[in-house]
Amino acid sequence: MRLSPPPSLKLDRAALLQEVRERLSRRLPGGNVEPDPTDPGWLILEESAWIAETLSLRLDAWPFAALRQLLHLMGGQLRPAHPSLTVLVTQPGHSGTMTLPPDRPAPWRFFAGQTEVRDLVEFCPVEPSVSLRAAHIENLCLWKNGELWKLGGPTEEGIAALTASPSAPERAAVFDRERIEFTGVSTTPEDTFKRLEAAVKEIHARKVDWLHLEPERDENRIRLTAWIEPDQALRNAIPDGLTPGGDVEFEWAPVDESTWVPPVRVADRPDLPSEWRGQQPMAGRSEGTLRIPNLPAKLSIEGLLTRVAAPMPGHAAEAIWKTVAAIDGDLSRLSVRASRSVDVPDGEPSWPVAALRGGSWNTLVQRDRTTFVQVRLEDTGTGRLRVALVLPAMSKPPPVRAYAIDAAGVLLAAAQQVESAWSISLPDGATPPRLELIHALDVNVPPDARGVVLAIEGDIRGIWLNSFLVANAPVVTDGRSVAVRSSVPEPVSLLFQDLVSPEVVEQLSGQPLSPGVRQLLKRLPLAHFTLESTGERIKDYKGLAVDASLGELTLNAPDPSGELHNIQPGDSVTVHWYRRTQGVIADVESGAVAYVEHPPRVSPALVAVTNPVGAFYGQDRETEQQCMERLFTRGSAVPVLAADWEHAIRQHLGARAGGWVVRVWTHAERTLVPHALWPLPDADEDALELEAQLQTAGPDCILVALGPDQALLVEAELTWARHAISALVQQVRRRFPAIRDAIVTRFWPLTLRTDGTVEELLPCFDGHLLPGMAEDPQGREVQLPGALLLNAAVVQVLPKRRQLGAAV
Amino acid sequence: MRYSSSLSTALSRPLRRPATNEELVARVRLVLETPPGHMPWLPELGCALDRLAGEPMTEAAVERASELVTSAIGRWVPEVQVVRCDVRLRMDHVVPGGSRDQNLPIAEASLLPFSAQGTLDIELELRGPDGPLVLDLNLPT
Amino acid sequence: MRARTPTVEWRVAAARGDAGPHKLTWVDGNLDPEQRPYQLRGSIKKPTFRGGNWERLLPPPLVTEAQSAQQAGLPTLVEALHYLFAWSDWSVQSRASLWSAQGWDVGLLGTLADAYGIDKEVHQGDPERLARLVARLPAWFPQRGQLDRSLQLWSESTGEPLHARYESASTVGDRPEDPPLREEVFACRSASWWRQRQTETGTQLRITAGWLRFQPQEGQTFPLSPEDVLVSLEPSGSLDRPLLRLLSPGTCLRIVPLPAPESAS
Repeated sequence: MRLSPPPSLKLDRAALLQEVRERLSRRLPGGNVEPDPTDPGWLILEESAWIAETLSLRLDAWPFAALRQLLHLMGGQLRPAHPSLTVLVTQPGHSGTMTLPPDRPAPWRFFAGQTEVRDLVEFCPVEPSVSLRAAHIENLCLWKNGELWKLGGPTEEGIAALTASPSAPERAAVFDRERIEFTGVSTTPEDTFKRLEAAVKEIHARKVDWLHLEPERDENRIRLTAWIEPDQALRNAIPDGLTPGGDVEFEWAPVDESTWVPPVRVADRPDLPSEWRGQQPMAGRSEGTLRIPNLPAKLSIEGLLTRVAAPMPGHAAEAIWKTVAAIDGDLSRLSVRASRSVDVPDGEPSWPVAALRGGSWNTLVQRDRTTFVQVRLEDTGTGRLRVALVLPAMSKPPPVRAYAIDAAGVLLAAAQQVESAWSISLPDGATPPRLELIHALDVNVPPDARGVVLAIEGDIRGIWLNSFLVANAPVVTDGRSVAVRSSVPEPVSLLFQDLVSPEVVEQLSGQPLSPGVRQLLKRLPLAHFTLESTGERIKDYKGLAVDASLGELTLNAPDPSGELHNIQPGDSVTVHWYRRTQGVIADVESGAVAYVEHPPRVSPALVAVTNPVGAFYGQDRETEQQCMERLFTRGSAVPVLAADWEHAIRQHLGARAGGWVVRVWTHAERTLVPHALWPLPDADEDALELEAQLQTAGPDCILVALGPDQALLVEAELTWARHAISALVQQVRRRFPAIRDAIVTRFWPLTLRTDGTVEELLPCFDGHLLPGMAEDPQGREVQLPGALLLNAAVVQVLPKRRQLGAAV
Repeated sequence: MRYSSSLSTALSRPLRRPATNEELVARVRLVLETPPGHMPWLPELGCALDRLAGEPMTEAAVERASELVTSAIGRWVPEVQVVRCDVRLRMDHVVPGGSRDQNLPIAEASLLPFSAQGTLDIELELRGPDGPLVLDLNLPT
Repeated sequence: MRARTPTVEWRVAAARGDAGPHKLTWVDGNLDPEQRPYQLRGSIKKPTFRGGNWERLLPPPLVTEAQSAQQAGLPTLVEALHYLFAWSDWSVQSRASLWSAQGWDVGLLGTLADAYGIDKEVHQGDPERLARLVARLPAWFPQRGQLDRSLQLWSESTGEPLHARYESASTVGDRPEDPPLREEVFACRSASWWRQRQTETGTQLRITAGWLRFQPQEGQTFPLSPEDVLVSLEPSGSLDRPLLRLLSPGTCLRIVPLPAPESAS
């Protein structure tokens, strides 16, 4: 039975004034009194009537604090605002460790500037200690299928050199000038030199055309320099230097003591046929030859072949001298020292040479498909190097190995210790944004290292240096002293609403955050108060009640865990500082955080800062209406019906999903009723994937379609919702294992265009109840099918569009 | 003849006695010094001279001010007729203002606001039931 | 510098009788359209309260005249507005704290405590007790019925000493020697109760110091279960019945009378 609402207590101003006029008319001689709006007496009477009306209106509207007590009985509490989180990259003036003092606000403050639509937003560091190095990224490379590719690197200096994303792979020319030298001392240098020349001729006669050998003599020192020169093989095959047209075949035999031949590719030249550019030549008709078929005539053979970017293997290099020694036995008695040198061309990475010098090349490239990042350290020090990998959302971070380059330019073979710091998913800078996983690592670096090479076993979307986690939880410095008068709970108004209390951190931890981030948030100091009598510190509201939304502290009242800090009457509490948040407005876009402030003597001094990803997880405090909706439509503790799941999901997603349509479909609804998936008539990639998932989803799997009712849900928020709902299902599953999984998809809000009247309740998922043309947010107009739409619904009805010039 | 204004209410005077010139002047002053919207129960009452704040005092603006005054008096104090209305803007001084909020980065706070103060001098020649009367008003802008 | 919430202070003053609808010395009627509304003025001992800024809404010339008159010591209708509406205004403005620890309205707070399951035996209608109680209710409510939380709520809200000692298996173990479980008083229990706690030794009924006891003197005693509360009673002590209202209905009390302390010779 519905209870009729109580009558309104509101008084009516006009009625009150009418009564005044009547009374005055009766009292004043002469009859009716005419109200004069500019008469001061009437003005005051009118104001009195207005005040009475206003106060009576307020009587009808109970303040939410009173309602909150009632709501609390139903298990509800107004959810406070959550701080936004993001990752910053900073350029320090010199290396140092950014350490947060435990009982004072951090000296470093980071700001996103004020815009037309947003106030100044302040972020503060969350990690107790982060090592920042003066360093920059030099280059990125990819080792794939035994070949090194360049992936670009920062082209600007300053803070831009601290972030890098892989570009399209480009051939690395780092080994093009590799030389193998065999040096020995002979007692008969003339004779030895002649023998050497003869041996070289013999090797060339054996069709090892790719190998260039240059014997030299310097008094009694004999040297043989060898290098790979692909053009030499072509010159031998085509002496006039121009292709004759048709197949080109050339000698490519290994040296005697080896089976190795250098891999080559046809150069990426515009005059070459496109099907051959960058490809490896085919095997020739006879053994020890290569062939490039169907080349046009009159092409210059210079630079037709390029060497694959990989060093000559050690055994192949040794085989060269072995072959020489086998040809002339006297030469085998010469004691030679073999060495390798690489003259790195400009613009090529230098770390491969450092690895060759250190004998660690094979260790580095032990796994195929490894991304290498070379970092240059600008000063020496003992601090670790903080690195962040940018990966696709929900991906598993790849293993990372780190190697140091010492002052002599040698890459040390022993891998350095790499520790995971934290991971967090945040929206990138694309429009619309997608969520990316930021995975932070700390790399141990020897004190005298000049560089670091990271070997990442997989693909990355980007890499940043000096990244650290920040939150929109700036400190408010208060300093007031509150005298306690009695043991009865005493409220104190703080300077701001939307404080960051332990309850707020607890609720924020309910978001899909990694355990590392949750730990950091729990360790963040939130407030500092002291008792004047003893100097005892009250940390983080322990033993005090705080209403984070209202910004009200209550002394001598227990905290949510029931702990009470008893403050004796006569004592005073000094409110030193606490944190507040700005809610969802702090979910700024990437690149918005551009200012850093700190006192001049702080170390390390920071020169510049940026946020390569957007901020996320911020939420405004729940409004009264949202709290009412959440509580008065609250389902049972364990969701059983589909509607229960909708309520549970809505509660779990919180204020970010305020105003969203959330629809849960059971297995029976999906399988026993004809359904359709938007977009129609041609399904997009998402719809096809959804259909495939539904084919195999059983009764223990629910389908959830969600999104705003006026626009399409962006990718970043869909990914976030998937994470969150997956966590909810796992949580419920522990108590009620009937539902084990959820497929989460985007909801398409549709507008029905019709000139008729529609009596169905909206949103309506039933296509056959609403015949007409439906328009989606992307402007697609389709006739509604006579089936149940699982991921779309008509949310509004508008008249049909008129053609210009058409008669109405 | 010039009067100094003093407010009184019709509720305390004998009925059917018309307002004296002195009382009318007080009411005119009340209307001209009240911006519309000031009283939530009667937002129309007043004279919108505050809307001229920030505008350059051109001839058109002076004429506009004069019109506003005349129409406000005509609507709210109909017993009085406006014979002449002179409006002049007098500029006082320029005041540098603004201070740096400690929470504001230095770069942001480099934009210091400045304010200017002026006064609208209004000289009114009116005719009431008792005869002509003059009113001088100085309204800060 | 004080950081007091004016509406809460007013409610406290109203509850104490320092602010009322008839005696209006607590009203700050100074006319000043620029002042913020709902402020606390005066001294700690004699606070005054400034309510809604009604003169701000009147035409400026009217307000200026009223201010001049007030400064000259004359009463004005504009000032009267403050006195006329002060009680209603502050009553409405301070309703947010009606149902909170700062409410001070015994009737309302009692209803709130009752809704949380706290009888009037616990708070006895005392405003201070109710205030302390109401502040603790949200933290206590999820763990209501537990002995340690109930004891904490009792001591922090009432400050009254208990007349007996209350313990459970989680604090003294399931077969404690102190207090001596063997001296437990026999009470009628259901068959399932005995079954749940039976031992091989069985009961050993005897009368000692006027009490019928049943726990065996040797061997295993009937143990404490998690829902049991062991009550140690001194000769002058008694059960704290109001405290029992804070325990869950399924709680089983087990009484152990303690011997009188030996007098010094």
